[in-house]
Amino acid sequence: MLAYNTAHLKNRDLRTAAEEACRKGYIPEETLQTVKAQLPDPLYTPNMFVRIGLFLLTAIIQLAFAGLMLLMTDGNGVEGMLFITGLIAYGILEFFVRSGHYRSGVDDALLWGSIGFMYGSLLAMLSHVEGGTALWLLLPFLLLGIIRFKDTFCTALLLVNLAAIIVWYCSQMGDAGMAAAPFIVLVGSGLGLWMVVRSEKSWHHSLYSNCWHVAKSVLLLLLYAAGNVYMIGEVANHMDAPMPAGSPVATGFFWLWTVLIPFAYIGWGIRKKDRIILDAGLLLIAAVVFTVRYYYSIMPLEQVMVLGGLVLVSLAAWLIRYLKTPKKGFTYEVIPDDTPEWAKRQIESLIIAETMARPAAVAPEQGFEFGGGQSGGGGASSSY
Amino acid sequence: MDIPSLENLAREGLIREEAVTVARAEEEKGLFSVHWEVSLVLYLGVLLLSGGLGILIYKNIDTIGHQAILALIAAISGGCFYYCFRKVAPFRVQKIESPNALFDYVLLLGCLTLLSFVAYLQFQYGVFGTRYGLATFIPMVLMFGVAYRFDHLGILSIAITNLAAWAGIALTPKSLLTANDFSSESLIFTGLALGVVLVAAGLLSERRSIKPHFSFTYRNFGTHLLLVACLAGMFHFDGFNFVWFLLLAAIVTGVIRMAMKERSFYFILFAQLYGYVGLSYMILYLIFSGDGAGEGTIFLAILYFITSAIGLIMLMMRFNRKLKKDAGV
Repeated sequence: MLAYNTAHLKNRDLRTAAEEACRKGYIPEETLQTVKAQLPDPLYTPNMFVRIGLFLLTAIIQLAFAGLMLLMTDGNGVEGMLFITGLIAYGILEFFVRSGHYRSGVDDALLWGSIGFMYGSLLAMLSHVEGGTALWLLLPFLLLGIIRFKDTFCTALLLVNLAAIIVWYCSQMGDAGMAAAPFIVLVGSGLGLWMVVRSEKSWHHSLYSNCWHVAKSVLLLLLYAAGNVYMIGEVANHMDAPMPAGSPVATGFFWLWTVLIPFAYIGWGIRKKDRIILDAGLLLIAAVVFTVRYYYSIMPLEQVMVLGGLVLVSLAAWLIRYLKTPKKGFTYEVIPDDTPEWAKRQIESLIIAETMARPAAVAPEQGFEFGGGQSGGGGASSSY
Repeated sequence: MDIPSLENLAREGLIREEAVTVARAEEEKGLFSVHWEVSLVLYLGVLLLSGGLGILIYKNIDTIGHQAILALIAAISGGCFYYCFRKVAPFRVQKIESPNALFDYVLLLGCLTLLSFVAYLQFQYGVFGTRYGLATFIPMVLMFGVAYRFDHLGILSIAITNLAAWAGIALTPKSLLTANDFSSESLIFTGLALGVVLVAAGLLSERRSIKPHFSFTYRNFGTHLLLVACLAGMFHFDGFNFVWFLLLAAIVTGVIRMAMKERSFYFILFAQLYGYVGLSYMILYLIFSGDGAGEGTIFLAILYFITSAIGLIMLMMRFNRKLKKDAGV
């Protein structure tokens, strides 16, 4: 099923585990070297930056090749030519994977390129295709990407696509359907999440673990989004359906859901020491603030920012003090992983420059603006 | 930690059974690090607080409340710096470790509020008069001073973007390409000059061992600026684009050499990509300057992209092999 050589993939997992064990001092360096000698890993995965470069260049080649194919038509059969381009890209993908490319940028670009060309040209061929059919049509391609290439992007898209299919069928059933849609997606993603979390032990170290991890994150987000007041309104808007007014009970339920679920995630994540759930909760706090502010301007934005900032800074300061010595298995200390600390510092400094530096004087003639009104405030207000 | 994999390794006799037992025991103690989560909360807090205060004072400029807000900003800034001066280790030209986790962000908050304060003084009281240069020069010098005294990469980045702003260039990662008017000739030459200055500052920090870990930040901003200015020159000075192309090629070669020495995939990647954009521009310029955009020329252009991209892929894979030995970033 997997296009990649599974023996080599397993070797790589074992080597990674041995490397971590060595970093944490469980096994000596010589043992690591023996492990590496015994378990060959010929899969080609270059450095992350090389991977980005190879991805971009492979994408350029595919676009240029599509252009070449189009030059050969006289304006007729464009869709057919693009479909053939997708097929050829898929053939080349299989070839590169056989020759050992694994997450090299080349295979990523070819997979997405071939799916894009094939699916896009199919849609164009079947013009006037219904929304639901278009969504169904995408499924086999995504399943191909997941089963054969364990692609995480396809996994995320598959789950979103399934939710979209549910919403689409509900929208065909009129007002009652639209009113039921949030609950169906909510129950569906909840069940999915329950199954994924319950079976975590069995997939956590499997070959498809990357897809499972992504599925877990996406289901957490979907479960929240299904009951988020803003999302419900936006989706209804998009489907040209009236906002599912529903009963005040339903509205109240969705507001409670919107506000409480992120905190529930944080609590759940802390209890289970599960980083994915904890981080999803933290991320969704931003969604709470955004949603509430979208419907109710309780106080001016800048006051929210100052108050929120004070709360966050004090909370963090308290946590750092509290965790000075590890408490209940939690620590503020960094547990080293394979990304060097200085690289993280560099990224952090770039984020600070991007979001906090206020080049107020790029054009002083145009009036002197001063702090806060620009990137600092702007950056924050888009997410808050 | 992937205990099942370790068990597998032990089963195959590659690692000792005891190692697995130790690992399992350690993992069960299972310290869970919330470092990046708490840091993110802290970062967002500082971002919101400094941004919110800035807007707050701006909106209340003509009311009685604004002096209270101003005093609050000054108090926050002063408090932050008081804390930092008390905690910081004595100055050394080498790297000094930050005394604790909170320190970095307290300093950041102090600096951002200080910048707001200085900007406010200029806005309301015009302390620097109409010498706008001075109004950006002073904060820039302050930021460089703070970055070196307290050893803070984020504030160094702010200082560098302020230096660029003083020279009239937007240099945050996003605004470099979007907020600059690269058809302005003075901007192109200023960009080149500032790029040279920054790269030189980076090289000097390392050679002279003055905060050598600042070198990457200087060279990162500097090389991007140099290469972008070079490309802009190439697009802008129509008759001379070959001269600019040669300059670009020279810089790209220089950056790649430097990157090979320190095994930096990052610098190699973007030097090659900038170079590729320049080369493609030149080739397309030559192809289309002949007889316009006929079918033959389009065919030629497509052929160029396919072959050149394949060529560059092979080149990148070779660089990867060369550097793979002990990989850096």
